[in-house]
Amino acid sequence: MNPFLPIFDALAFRTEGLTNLKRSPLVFWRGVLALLLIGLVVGFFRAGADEIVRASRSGQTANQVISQIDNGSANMAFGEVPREFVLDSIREGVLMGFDIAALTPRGGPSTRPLNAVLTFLGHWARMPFEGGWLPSLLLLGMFTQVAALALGGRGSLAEMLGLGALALAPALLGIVAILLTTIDTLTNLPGANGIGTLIGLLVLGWQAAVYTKAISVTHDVTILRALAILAVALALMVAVGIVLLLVGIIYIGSLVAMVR
Amino acid sequence: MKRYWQLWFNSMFMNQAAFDSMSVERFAFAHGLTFIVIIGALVGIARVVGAAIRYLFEPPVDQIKNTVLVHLENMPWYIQLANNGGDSFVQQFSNGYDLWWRVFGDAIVPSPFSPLTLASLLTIPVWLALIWLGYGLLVHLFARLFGGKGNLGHGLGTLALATAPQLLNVLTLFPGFTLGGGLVGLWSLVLNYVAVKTSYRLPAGRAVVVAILPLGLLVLVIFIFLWVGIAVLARMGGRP
Repeated sequence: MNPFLPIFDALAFRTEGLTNLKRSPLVFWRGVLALLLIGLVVGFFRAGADEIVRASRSGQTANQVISQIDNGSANMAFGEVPREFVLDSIREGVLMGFDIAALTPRGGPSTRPLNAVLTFLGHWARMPFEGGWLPSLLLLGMFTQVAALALGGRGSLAEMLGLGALALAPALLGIVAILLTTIDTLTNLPGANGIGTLIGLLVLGWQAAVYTKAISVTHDVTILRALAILAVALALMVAVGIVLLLVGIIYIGSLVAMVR
Repeated sequence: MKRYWQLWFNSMFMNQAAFDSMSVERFAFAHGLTFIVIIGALVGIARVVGAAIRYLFEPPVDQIKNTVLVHLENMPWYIQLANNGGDSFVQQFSNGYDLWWRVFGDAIVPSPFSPLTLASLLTIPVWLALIWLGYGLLVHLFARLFGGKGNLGHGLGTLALATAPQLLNVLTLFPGFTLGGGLVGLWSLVLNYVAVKTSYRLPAGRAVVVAILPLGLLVLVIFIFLWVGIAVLARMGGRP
């Protein structure tokens, strides 16, 4: 089965395609596979952009970095601590960083290129596993499933997570934002950041629409009810988060009160 | 091994058939324990290999330590303290600095040959098995309280499948690769819910509660121990 097909179905809101996916016995695997493919495509551009920016700065010396810090902190005050006292420590810290980076690896200088390649591959491959991807899918998916069952939904958790994973498909548009941000970092192109922000908002809206469609197909409900389910799920997440935060604050407050 | 690979794949991606068959299997406990030990061993091996890769790519710890010391001694706060404290400060700082590196140096650049790293080949599978047993016992207790039907062996066997996401930790042997946002814990929690629902034949709502209660209990116990410990220390310090 074509692993890219669910991505196109999600982007185009094709009910038939999403329903076929829902009926697959490995619906969660196919959804995660789509997410992995999307994440690896976006991750490649992000890792590549990071590498380009890093390479453009790799010729910088410690003195150039210190000069930038001195210029950036020209009007800063550090309370009662003398300014030069703080800046001298920072300058020494920068020199320390450069000296550590220059130390020879145990495997010899020839391991540096291999390290660079493996680190690039690691940065590339980690994107689908980062907070905004798989963890968010699982967290939001759990709350959505609870809300859906409470509001009359009939789908299983595996179906919800499998179809919900496709909500990350619009993130492919984020490649444009990554490229614009990189160009802005390298050349200070006016307006690039603003366009990047707009694209980010567009992606977010599109993802919300795809996720709502996924809820509708999974639980066999209307779009309106799917929106209600999503709203309840988000409200539940916020409520649980606030309760945990309050409990944490009260608990830490009681510990602090004890030791004072 | 092929069987366990298929079991891993099916449980990882919530193929209901895997949970159903484990919930009625004759030797569910033994298969579950074997499954966990294999996963734990693979994660342990990956940890050693990852440490070996980083060991080759990092400079020796002594060189990092000496480089950091040279620059710390050039910082204004050190110079000021050394001027005020004289040889006494310098000696105390040197002793504390050496002690810090002896204790934490291995954590900064872990050696693949250090006892702690090599021990992970054993400690990770053992730790996973102990967590599984403890969690499984509590789940069984709560499931019975909430009207669940099923025996402990089948319950533990099915819950063992929720350890599947731990295998993702193997990927961290690559430099630069990290798993974000509690992914393994969240994924395991989802699979625990499926295992509880299947093995104890509970409705969805009660299965969620039964899956989460042991974790809540653990957090409560830790909070209470911490609270009591600090209260005792505060009292010993003379405060009411």
